This record gives sequence, C-alpha cells and structure tokens, in this order.
Amino acid sequence: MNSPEEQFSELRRLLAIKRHERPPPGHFDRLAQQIRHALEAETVSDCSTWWERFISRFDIQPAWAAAVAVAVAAVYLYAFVSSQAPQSPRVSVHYPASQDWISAAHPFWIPSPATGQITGEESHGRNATSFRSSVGPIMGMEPVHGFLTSPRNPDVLPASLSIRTP
Amino acid sequence: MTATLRTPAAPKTDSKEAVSDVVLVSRAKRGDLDAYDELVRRYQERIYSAMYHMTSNHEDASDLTQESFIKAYRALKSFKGDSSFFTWLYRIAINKAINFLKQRKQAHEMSLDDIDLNAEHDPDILTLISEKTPRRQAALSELQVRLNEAMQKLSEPHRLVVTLHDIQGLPHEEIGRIMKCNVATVRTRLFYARQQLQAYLSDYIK
Repeated sequence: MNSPEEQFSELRRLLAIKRHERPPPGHFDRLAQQIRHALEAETVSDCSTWWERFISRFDIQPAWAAAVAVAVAAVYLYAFVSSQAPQSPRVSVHYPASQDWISAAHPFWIPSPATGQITGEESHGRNATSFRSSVGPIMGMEPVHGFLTSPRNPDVLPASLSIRTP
Repeated sequence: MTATLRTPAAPKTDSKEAVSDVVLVSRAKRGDLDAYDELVRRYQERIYSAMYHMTSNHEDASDLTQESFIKAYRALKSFKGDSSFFTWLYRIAINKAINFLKQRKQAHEMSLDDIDLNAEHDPDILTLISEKTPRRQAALSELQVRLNEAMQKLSEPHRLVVTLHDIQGLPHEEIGRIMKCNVATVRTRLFYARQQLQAYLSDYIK
C-alpha cells in the first residue's frame, strides 16, 4: 500500500501551482505601509491626554502645525488691534449723596470722590437733595481693558454723568 | 520580465531569527512601531498567502492580513512567549479567516492573483498542462480556477490543513500548534481533505 505522500503525489503537484499565485508587484510594500499608518493612527487615539493627542498630530500632519500657528497669530493680532483702538467718549453720571440703595444693589461698588452729590445747576434746577435716579449706575461705555493692557482703576467704573448746561 | 520563485517556506527556527523575534516583540510591546514594522515585513507574505488560499480572494486576503497584524499589535501585551511569535500570529490570522468565512455568503466571487511566469517553466506543472492543450497560459488559468473552486468546496478545517501543509509547507507539528490540536488530527484532516480534492480534480489526475 502506498504511503499518503505517494498516494497523493499527483494532487500535490497540482497544488504546487497555487504557490505561484502572487499578488501584484509592490503589494507587500503598500500593505506594510497601510498597517503602519493604521497603527500610528491608533496610537494617536490612545494617548492619555488631549494635549498629547494634539501634539502628536503635528508629527503626522505638518499642516496642523501651520494651522495652529496661523490661529495663534490671528488671536494676537486681534488683541493688539483692539488694544490700540481709540477710546470712546466717556458717559458718566453723578449720583445723589444718598447711596445706600446703590450699596445694597451693588455691594462691590465704591463711590468715587467725584460722585455723591448733584448740584442744583447740574440737575437742571431741580432740588438736588430730592433727586433720585430711577436707574442703576451706568457703567463705563468703553472696554474695561484690552487683551494686552492692564485693567483700569475699578473704583471709577460707575462713574458720574456730567451734563453741562449753558 | 523575470519573476522570482518564492516558495512559501516553513518558519525559520534558527536561533538568530528566534532571538531577533523576541527582541522585536519586546521592543514592540514598549510601543516601538519600527520594531513591529519589521515583524510585519517578515511575516506578511506568509500570512497573506494563508489568507489568500483560504478565501481565494485577493482583496479579502489583504484586509484579513491587515486586520490580523493590527489585532496582534493590540494583543501584544498578552503574548507571553509560550509559543513562537510566528505561531501566535498565525493563530490570530487563522481565527480571523475562519470567522470571516463563516459570515461570508455562500456565493462569492473569486479574485485570483496572477500566476508568476516561473510556473510555466516548472517541469511538474508543464507535464500537467501540456498534455491537455497547447495553449499553456489559458490552460494554466483554467487549472488555477478549478483548483481554487475545489479548495472552496472543502470545509474550513480541511482547507486550512491543505493550505498550511501542501501549499505553505508547514510541518504537521507546527500546524497542530497553530490549530491547537494534536498531530493525529492534523494527519486525519489532511487525508480526508486530499481525498475530496482528488475527487474534485479527477480530470487532471491520472
């Protein structure tokens, strides 16, 4: 009786043809690259912090670095331009001497020395002591401070309104 | 144009490569993608070949090869070195292929790779096709299709032993380790698989 190897020798010769089946040239180079890229992408997504993911993107896509640089430059430019803009005219109001209601409504508001009393002239002839504002203090209309400038003295924010009458 | 004959070889077991695999795996475990890339380049042809002969479809084989290497990388930390990296990797790939084939519809299209030019000059192959027709290339292509159809008629375990032993040249013991079964089972499966193939390809076998 023939051994299995001898018994199937013809078949094995036929099957040998399958060893000659080859993928297109360059296939294995591409396959290795695809595997590498997939693993790199997976490694990126596995990074523990958002900062690591953010930084590691620069290695894969240099365009990311350029985009971030442009964005940062744009923010700085906007900040610089806004800090250099001319100040708007200041509108302020004088408040009556009695400021208890303001203090109650705005516990952090500190009256400036310039405010606190409206003169008869400034109140268009009305009795200064009986004047009561129906609105709260008007805040300064200009921005408190720019991105690159230090904040102004907060004490003067609820500033006085100066209405000059002829 | 000349094509080189690259017979799928059995895994090299010389100590130099074995040590090299261990070192590369160790580096890859620490996240060294270059080391893993080296392992990919070392084994991708054999894994692709196994996937191709199991599916008879080039695109499916490429996808399965890629997925197998990615899965192996993810599971690398669980690789304890009880078997060789080659055996472990093969096991992952084979499991992936079998799962894929279970999900694949019965009727599927074959997408066969070309037969390299050396096949036409192989004396064994020459005797098989020259008697049938003088149009060797056409005869060879027809034989290739018949072979792949016959392979696809086998059950997955039978197709696997034929692929690993008769096409890829792995020894029974290595196949047993990959399939996690004993050598006797491998031999039995191989015997029945060959019998079936012989029946399907009787036109070509004296």
